[in-house]
Amino acid sequence: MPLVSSRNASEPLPLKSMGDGITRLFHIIVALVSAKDGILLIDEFENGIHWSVQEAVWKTVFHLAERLNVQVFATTHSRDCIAGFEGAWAEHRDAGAFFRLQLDASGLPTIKAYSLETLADSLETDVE
Amino acid sequence: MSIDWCHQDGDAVLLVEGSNDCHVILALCQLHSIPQTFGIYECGSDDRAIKRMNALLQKENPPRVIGLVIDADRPDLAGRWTSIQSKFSKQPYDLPPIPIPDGTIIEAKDGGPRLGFWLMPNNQVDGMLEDFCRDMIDASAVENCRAMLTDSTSEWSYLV
Repeated sequence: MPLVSSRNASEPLPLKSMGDGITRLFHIIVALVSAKDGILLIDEFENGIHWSVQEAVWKTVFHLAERLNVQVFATTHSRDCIAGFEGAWAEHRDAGAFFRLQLDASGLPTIKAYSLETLADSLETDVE
Repeated sequence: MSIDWCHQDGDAVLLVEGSNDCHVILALCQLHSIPQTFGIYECGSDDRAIKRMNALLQKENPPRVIGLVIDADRPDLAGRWTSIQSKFSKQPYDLPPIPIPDGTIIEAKDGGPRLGFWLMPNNQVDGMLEDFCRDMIDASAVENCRAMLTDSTSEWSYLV
């Protein structure tokens, strides 16, 4: 059973007792370390993570991905997740990219690339 | 529920700064019997109007036509035009070096939305919506109004 030692607790606590968010963060970090010098695919990035800490989690991912030389591909349908990503991307301008996958009129998947500025404009004006 | 005429999105949309801009344009459309082929969207500020235009261009199904009406102030006409040019510099549009006096209309190079720009009051001088409105008023009307207000027997004299 994974245990967590915390500055705020005298004894180690089970990871499970700390909530889904911490477990999810733990999984992402362990996966990043395992993917050293490679790639990591994260589906539905926001799962289990409270909206208010999405940006902090993204900052951790940017930081560790750079340090461990991992290219991360993440998917999401969550606006909060995208807003968190935008906040972290703004601090690591050369390390991020954002694409929307969509179907064109004939039903074929197409890719639309966003600049940081356009993503920020879309979030600020609620056009998405 | 009544229709919010100043927050209409759709296939053809005119982005404006605030509710005054929206209502002046609505009144002009009514006066000149302009058919209702587009919606007006009040963005809250000039910067947000420019940002919304940029964001709409990126949509999965962008509007066919997007117009922008903002004041030629903060700081001036040249400054506003420069901020529009820099916002759309990476998009497939060739904006002229200065705004076109009759309003700038630009077709996309990639089949995307047609864009229109109007900088109040007339695309040629610094100013704002209020200058545009003032220019529509006949000088004699101003004189009549002043006479009414300064005439002590007028029912409007209490306003001065």
